[in-house]
Amino acid sequence: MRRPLYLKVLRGLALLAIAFWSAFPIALVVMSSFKPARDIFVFPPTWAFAPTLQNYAGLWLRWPDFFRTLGNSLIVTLGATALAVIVSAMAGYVYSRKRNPYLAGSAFFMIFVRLFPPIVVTLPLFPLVNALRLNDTHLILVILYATFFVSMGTMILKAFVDQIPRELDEAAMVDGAGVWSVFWRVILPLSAQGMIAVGVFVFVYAWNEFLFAFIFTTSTAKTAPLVLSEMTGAVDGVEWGVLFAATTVQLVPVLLFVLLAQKYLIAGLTAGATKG
Amino acid sequence: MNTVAPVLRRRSFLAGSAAIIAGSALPAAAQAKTLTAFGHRVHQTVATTGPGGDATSAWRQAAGFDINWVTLGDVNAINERLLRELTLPETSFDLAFLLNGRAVPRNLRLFEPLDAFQREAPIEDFDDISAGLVAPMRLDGALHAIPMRHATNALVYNEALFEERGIKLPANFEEFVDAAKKLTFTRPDGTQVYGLAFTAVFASNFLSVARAFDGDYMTGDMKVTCDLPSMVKPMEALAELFKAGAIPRNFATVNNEEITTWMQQGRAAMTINPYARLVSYNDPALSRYPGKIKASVMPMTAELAGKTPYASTTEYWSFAIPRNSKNKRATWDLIRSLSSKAGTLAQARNGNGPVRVSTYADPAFASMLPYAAAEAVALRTARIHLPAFDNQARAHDVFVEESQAAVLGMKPAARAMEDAAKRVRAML
Repeated sequence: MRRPLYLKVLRGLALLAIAFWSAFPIALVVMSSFKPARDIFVFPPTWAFAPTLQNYAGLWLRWPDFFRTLGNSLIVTLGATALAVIVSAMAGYVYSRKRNPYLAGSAFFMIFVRLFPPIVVTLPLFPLVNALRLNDTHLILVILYATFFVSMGTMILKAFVDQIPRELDEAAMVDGAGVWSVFWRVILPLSAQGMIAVGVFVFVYAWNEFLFAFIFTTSTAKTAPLVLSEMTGAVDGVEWGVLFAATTVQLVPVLLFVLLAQKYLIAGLTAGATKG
Repeated sequence: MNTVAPVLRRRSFLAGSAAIIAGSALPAAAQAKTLTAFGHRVHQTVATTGPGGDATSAWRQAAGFDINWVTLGDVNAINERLLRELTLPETSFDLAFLLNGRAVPRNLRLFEPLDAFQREAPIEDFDDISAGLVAPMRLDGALHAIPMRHATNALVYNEALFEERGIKLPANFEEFVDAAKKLTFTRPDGTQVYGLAFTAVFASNFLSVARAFDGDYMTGDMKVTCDLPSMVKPMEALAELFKAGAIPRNFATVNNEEITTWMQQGRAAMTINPYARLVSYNDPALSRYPGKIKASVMPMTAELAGKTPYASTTEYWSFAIPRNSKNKRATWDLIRSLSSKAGTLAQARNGNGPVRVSTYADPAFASMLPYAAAEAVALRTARIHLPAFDNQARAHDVFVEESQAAVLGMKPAARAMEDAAKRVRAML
């Protein structure tokens, strides 16, 4: 049955309003990064202006460490994404194919741990991380970011693996494959979509994460969000243009990644939704 | 000829990922003789960048050390991180920057007493450093930190808006209140201009107004005095301005960055902020009123004018050496170098508020900063906003909360100040 025209129009308007609500602040930040500093907050606001790169030049000259910390963000994000995806895939496979009380208990524990606010975990971890001399290393951030997403990643990938017929595992085993070989040669290629979906979640989280980076890094592994925070705390006045330029630079990689992977993201979120 | 195309196999992908992760685990090899300084970005900037040059370079060359600057952007975050480091068996932070409000006995005990260093290798002309700033850094007579940067509050005003509205600069507090009302108006394009705007999250801002009545929340000897008329009257005056619309409606939540933007855009005629902010207020690249934004001390009430000098509120940072740090001797040498007359002047030229009286007398410095003379005068009588005691941060929040309640009209000013006094006395 065809929907009436007014419903279509209303739906379109609602979607437009939601898109505007979500995208407008981002567009404003990006646009402001190309405005001369004194015109950014001018009232009434100006929408037509001669774009300038002076804010980007200021960022390069006055905050050179921002670009170094972007490199740290990239290392940590890639490391955490790889670790979380691999561990989640293995765990998802086991939870999907094996049944025993210990596994049920560990699944509950994973969800339970996820309920704690990160700050609760952070403070007791600080002396421990310090004693292990992991403070200010990329590794500690990789481990923490991955750990916080393994539970959700495992559930997503379990749903994916559930959809892969067990007959494929059995056929491979008849041909002589072991559990590891089945996982490696059968399950992993077929759950690639789910792995990408999990990867997107971890990537976005790790790229933007502030709290753990703030607690556990000082200089060597310092990530870009910490420098953005420093820019907002300048005691002699925030350079808004430079801050918006940095925000735009920070936004671009994650935006591109999400755009490229968005179809897998939806697949990841809906995996298992129709399973009877 | 057979060619084999390079293929990324899962095995090599996993091995590569593992190698990246393992590689990232290795902490960067510590450079030989590196000293770590922990503070705000502004500390690094004034020590190393600007017309005054790199104030650390002479020491670095002589001592053969490099400085690893670890900076954060938020004062509370700096304090929180610093205290966490100080409670470890050993910290990598050698030089710490400590805000006077955090120099309470409980925290000062975590820093190395400096008297032995001072006896052995004294800081040049130590008495030249403002005595009023040094005193709070002593605990049981022992010096625990060396003042290095101050921010003294001023009444900042937009001269162009005064001229536009045909108003004279106020000679006393009553005229100031009157001017704030007259400077509140709406432009034809709909822009609302407020007579007075300041952020309400700092007790020192309320106090900057109250000092016109010689008011104080607490005295240096820990007496709570906020329920005296000298604090109640200024709160009543602010409440009157808020009611008249001369203070913005979002007074309780507006932050200092918004205030800066308002001043630069001419949307606020007066504010309370440190003298050093004049640089960005008058920056032609940021401000619509370059050269027109000036500063002075808040005028006293007609009753006290000419009798009692105005005492500006001041906050300041100090150098300190964590007790659990490793390079104490080298750190002291760096402090000595930065606290010398030449070091202080170099940092002042880079935008630091100098704690040495003699720095203001330097003609090159005075000509660089148009507000240097006014700030020097204000610094002579300036006082910190609250004395140091372990519950100072909580007391500060109580004073702010009750002062906001008074200004917003949630409570009569007298009752708000009585409530503040009662709550803070219970903490002492």
